[in-house]
Amino acid sequence: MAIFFMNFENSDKINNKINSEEAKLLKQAKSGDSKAFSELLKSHLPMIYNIAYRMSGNAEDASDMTQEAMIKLFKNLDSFNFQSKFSTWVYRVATNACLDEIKKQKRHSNVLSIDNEKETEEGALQFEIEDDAPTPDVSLEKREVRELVTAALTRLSAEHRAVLVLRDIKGMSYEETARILNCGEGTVKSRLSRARKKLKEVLENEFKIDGTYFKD
Amino acid sequence: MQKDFNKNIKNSDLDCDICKDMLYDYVSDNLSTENKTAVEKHIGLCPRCAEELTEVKGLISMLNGFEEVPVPKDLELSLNKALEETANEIKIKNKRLRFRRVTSAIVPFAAAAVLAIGLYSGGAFDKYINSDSIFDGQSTYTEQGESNNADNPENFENVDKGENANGASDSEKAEKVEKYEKYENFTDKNKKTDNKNKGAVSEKDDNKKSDNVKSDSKKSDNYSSKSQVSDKSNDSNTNKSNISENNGRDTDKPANTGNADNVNNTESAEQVYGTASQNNEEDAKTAEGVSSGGGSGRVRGGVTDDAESQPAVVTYGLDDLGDESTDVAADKSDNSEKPNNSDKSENSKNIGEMVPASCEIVTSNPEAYASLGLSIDGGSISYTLWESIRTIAVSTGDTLNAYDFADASVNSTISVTLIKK
Repeated sequence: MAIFFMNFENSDKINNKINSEEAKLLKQAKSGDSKAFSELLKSHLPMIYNIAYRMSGNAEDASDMTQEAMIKLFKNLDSFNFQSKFSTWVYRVATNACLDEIKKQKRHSNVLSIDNEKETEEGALQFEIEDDAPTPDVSLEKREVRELVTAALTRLSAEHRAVLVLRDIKGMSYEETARILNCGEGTVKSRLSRARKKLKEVLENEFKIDGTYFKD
Repeated sequence: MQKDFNKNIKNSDLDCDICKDMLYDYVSDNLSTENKTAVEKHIGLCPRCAEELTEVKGLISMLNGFEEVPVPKDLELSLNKALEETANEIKIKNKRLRFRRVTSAIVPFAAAAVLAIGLYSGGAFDKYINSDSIFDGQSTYTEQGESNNADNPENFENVDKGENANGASDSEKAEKVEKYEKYENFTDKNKKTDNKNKGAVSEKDDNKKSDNVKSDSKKSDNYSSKSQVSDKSNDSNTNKSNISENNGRDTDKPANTGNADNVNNTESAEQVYGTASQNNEEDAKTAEGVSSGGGSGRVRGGVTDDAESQPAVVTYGLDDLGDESTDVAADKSDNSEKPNNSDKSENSKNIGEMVPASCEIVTSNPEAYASLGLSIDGGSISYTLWESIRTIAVSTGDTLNAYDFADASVNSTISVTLIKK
């Protein structure tokens, strides 16, 4: 009797978190069926790729991140315990994979500050970066502004990028964003506030995009 | 770092810089009701901050309007390939997990079965069932291996008594009798070299069987289990009836065959037999046979225990080890009937396997311990018990109790006193 209720409760729980078709595919994917896994993740792949694209800022890195995220998801299907929606779990794993990749790239890249001089045998070199930012008098189309905003996003920390992408770009609720980032809603709000401010500062200071471009 | 806006709330007049900071929290719904009201009030009065709010909202609106980027086709292709490779890994991993689950389910049963068989056959069981006393248990363990050996002199004695050869053929009997005669010659030879205890040995030889009869049957209580276990392990049953009949003092000896004059090792000529105190017949035990290692130790053994429920404590005096030849002597405390034996042998067994934990060692030369299988190294004494080397930190004059030598669970009154002369 107890078993019956337990099974009933469990199946009810599964139905809330995953539909029957997903449950079937999930079972097959867990056994190592790659086609079932592809089918299971088919509807989530665009979201994963877009999260990766907005966080990385380019298609190439986005593809790498997406592939990494998909492999992690495939390998860790057993860790999905029906405590959250399947999509939430998928985006959490994908976001974490992107965050890991960004942090990895940061560690391996030699970041040079434009303010510093580099000593060489031929003397001190000063970095001069071509300023391709638009001047205020040049009118930019909205598409161009978006591209600059995408580029500006990559100047932010991985955590700030993640919260902006999930909440502002992908339009997720505070609750879902908090679940994906595995933190509280209050943390999401304060982190989002700081991320927005930082993004605006980067756009204004580094990309010479003042606030007038954002007005409707 | 988040600024504290609480003080501004009271004034309700926000500074523009503070208000600009608060605008991000305002649009992020991260302000309290009071702060939210204060910001809204300030925005209503300050056109610059109102414009800033418009810009922030415009930026957020722009982010909201980012179009979805389509998944590249080449990514889908490469992804399929990567997922197929991952699928193979998962399948292998699943197979391993299944195998592990099956084996983890089977192994405990298999181990239990092996253990049960081992215990039933008596090998391991004998060792531990005799651990009532460290001394006796150890000796029994050592002796069992020998008792199973057809060449063991202990068996010859049994043959001589004609009590245990029921299952043997005549030719086997004759062969054993012949071997026993050799053994008798061997032991006699050893006995002749024992100047101190010659009388006791000869008396024992003459009255070997009668000693067994005379022996106190009460003393066998503590050792009956040992004898029974030995019976199990002895396939030839040559000792069986002998042990059952010899419930007296002599069965308490490490030789475990019911005879006080059993030699533990055919190669060992150095045997020390402790003597049981006749004052307490129930608990008096013979000292264990001790083979000295390296042929450079002089050991005296004697039973001094008089407690009713406690095994005897054997005292060993370790004298100067200057001479090459070993003179191992067992002191008799009260019972002159007990055989005492001492001898020399270069082929003696390592005493570390035989030295009882229940002994008192008196020495002026720490190196003596090494010759006994005990070693002193930097204030510690090492000894062998249950075939494992154990070390205890000691200093001269220390008294070591039973629990220093073995597990506290072992019931024993064993003690070792290190006294520097």
